[in-house]
Amino acid sequence: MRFAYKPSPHIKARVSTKDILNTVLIALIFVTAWSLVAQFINFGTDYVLRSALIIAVACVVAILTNVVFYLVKTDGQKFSSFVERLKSTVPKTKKGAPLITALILALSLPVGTPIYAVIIATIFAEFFAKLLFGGFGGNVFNPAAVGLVVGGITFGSQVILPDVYAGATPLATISGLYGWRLTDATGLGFIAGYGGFIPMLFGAVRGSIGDPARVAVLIALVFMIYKRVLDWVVPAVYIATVVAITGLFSLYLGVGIWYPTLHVLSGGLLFGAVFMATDPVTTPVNRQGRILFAIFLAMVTLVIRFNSSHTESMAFSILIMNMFVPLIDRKTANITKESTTMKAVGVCIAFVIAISVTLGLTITLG
Amino acid sequence: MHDFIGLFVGAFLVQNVVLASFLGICPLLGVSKKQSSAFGMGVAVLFVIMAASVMTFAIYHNILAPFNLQFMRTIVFVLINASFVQFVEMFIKKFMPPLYKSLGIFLPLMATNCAILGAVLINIDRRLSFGEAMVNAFGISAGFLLIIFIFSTIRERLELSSNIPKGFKGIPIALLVVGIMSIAFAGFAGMGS
Amino acid sequence: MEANADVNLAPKQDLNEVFLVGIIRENPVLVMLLSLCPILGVSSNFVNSVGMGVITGVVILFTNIMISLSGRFIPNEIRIPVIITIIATAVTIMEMLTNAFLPDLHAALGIFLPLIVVNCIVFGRAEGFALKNKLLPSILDALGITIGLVLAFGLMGFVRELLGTGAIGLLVLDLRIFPAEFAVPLFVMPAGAFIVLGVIVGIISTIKISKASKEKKNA
Repeated sequence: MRFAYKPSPHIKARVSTKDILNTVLIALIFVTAWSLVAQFINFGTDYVLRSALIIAVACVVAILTNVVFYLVKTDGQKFSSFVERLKSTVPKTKKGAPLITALILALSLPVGTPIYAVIIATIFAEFFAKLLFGGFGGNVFNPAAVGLVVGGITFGSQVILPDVYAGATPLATISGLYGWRLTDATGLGFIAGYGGFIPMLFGAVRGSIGDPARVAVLIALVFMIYKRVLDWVVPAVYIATVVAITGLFSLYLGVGIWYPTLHVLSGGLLFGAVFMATDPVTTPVNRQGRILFAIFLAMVTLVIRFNSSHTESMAFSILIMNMFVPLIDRKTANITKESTTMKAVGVCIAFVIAISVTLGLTITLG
Repeated sequence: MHDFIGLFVGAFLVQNVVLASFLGICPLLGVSKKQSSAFGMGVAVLFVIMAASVMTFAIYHNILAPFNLQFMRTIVFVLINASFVQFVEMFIKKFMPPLYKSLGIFLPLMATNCAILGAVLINIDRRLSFGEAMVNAFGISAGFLLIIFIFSTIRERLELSSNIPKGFKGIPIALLVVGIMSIAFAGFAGMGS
Repeated sequence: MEANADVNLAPKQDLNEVFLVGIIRENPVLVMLLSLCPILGVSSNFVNSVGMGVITGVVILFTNIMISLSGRFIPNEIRIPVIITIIATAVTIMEMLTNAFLPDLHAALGIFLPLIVVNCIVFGRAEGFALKNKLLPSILDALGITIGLVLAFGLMGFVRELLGTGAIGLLVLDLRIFPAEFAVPLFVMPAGAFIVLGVIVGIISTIKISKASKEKKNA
């Protein structure tokens, strides 16, 4: 059987693309709303207003970028008036799903991001990472991740945290001060400071805008699995691999089982696992490919988390794995011919590689 | 050992030869249309960098430096590189003709490959010991191989994308891809130090 | 040992054409896409970019002159090492001169100075043009290419520094165009180099395509 290499999107669901996008959008709006409410309860009005502003700016800029792009790129169509031209951009913009990118981006940004940075990040996400590649379906890299890296990281020196939310975020402390090499004392003490894991789940932790909504993310996950818009395997394998690697590392550090849990619950890991690693356009086509993708995504996330000078690693690891997707697709192209045993062997080998590379690098570079 | 791994990671990921040091762009853009030629080029470059590193290291420390001829390093290194490339070209032509055909003009063009000359210059300029220079050279060439190979897979996929604006098809969108890859690799900053 | 036989058989060139072609229509960097490594590597700064362009130009000029004068005496088999040696000599001289008189520039350009030796443009012009042509056309060719080179380098450096820092440093004075908070540091990072170059080449390419289709329509 010859594998016919077709262009994206290769969504093999029984649901249409439009329905998938709508469902994802609903899930995102749900998470956003929960996040804003949780912020209001935990941190007060100022915090919420700032978050809402960032979200609104991202959405508006994303839509505008699409409109401007399609005003200029008309593919030879002729229009009788400017209004006609403007109207023609509407269906094309809708197809591009700018709101999904905008929301994922906004929810991952730190609350102190300057508005200018949000604008630039969104423009980069929509224009450079999506539109120039031919719009939705043609992009190689996750647009939200691109925008996130551009806005959140390259403006790093200018991210000012106004007085209202002064102080480093908890994640920054763990990462910067300890490099994730925690002891029972520091780690448990840290968690106790929030009153345990449950408050962490329900939004007591400051961080990015979407952080307080972790429970909502889990609910959204279930919702999207039920509606068949994403493959449950990806978040499951991803989190399982993270738990396995951090679990082994916790043995090395001599700490308790709270360590892997802390990892899963910190930073954009959960959010990224549900909304970024499951993007059908920039992730592998078949299930075997996705399993491998998830395993290596976990590897890269943890390698960067443990060893680099960055606090947040989700966006970077997504982009790096996006690079490997065409290769994974190619290598797993004829996978239906392989027996289940071969597939399982492949997964095990990947798993072993992921664990050894992460732990090997982390311990030797330690 | 710790230092060697740090050095390797630095050369391979953090200060990646293509994405951060801007070396090897011409072959990257020129040869990466097909996976097999990209891989072949990467391996050929790896061989030349390793071999040239040994040779240039020996000559610099044993001939040029003792006689205060360091300023001649550019000329000498380039000639050494060119000779190795010539040798590799003959080898591939004899033993792997299909690869020779697919690499085409880019094989002799390796003589002007900035990555090769850059690698040997870095070895010397950073005053690395022999072991360090070898690790560094390996990191650089492995980094080049990784990038050129991955890039070729992405380019093959981009070829199928029909909606890219006409002016941007080919090289411009390829440059954008490299740019995003460069941002992605910025995630490795601070590793190994 | 046969000397290069076809030096005097090169077609009569319109001298103007030789000069102008290298600037816009066949701009070595932005259209022919040569010498990409250096332009990406030094363009985070306008002054460095222009400096690099000029230095490369001097090397091209020197090389073209030398090769054009000695073209008929170089045996075909060893022409490549000979050309390389001449280029390397020129580059080494420039390296030493820059180190002596413009040490800041020398430090900023770093490894890309010696890398001029393997710059495809230098070698390409030497082998492709100067070897087979007389002195005057070779000089004009070098000058034309250099202008195109400096234009391209300068453009990249200008755009990157402007967008990345909001100001243009011009040796003694700093022209601040807009406040630093609105600058996008990405553009002075390596990734920014690729993106800016990609966009510039893309724009030029788009213009060329629309020009070509307009000409087809009018034909």
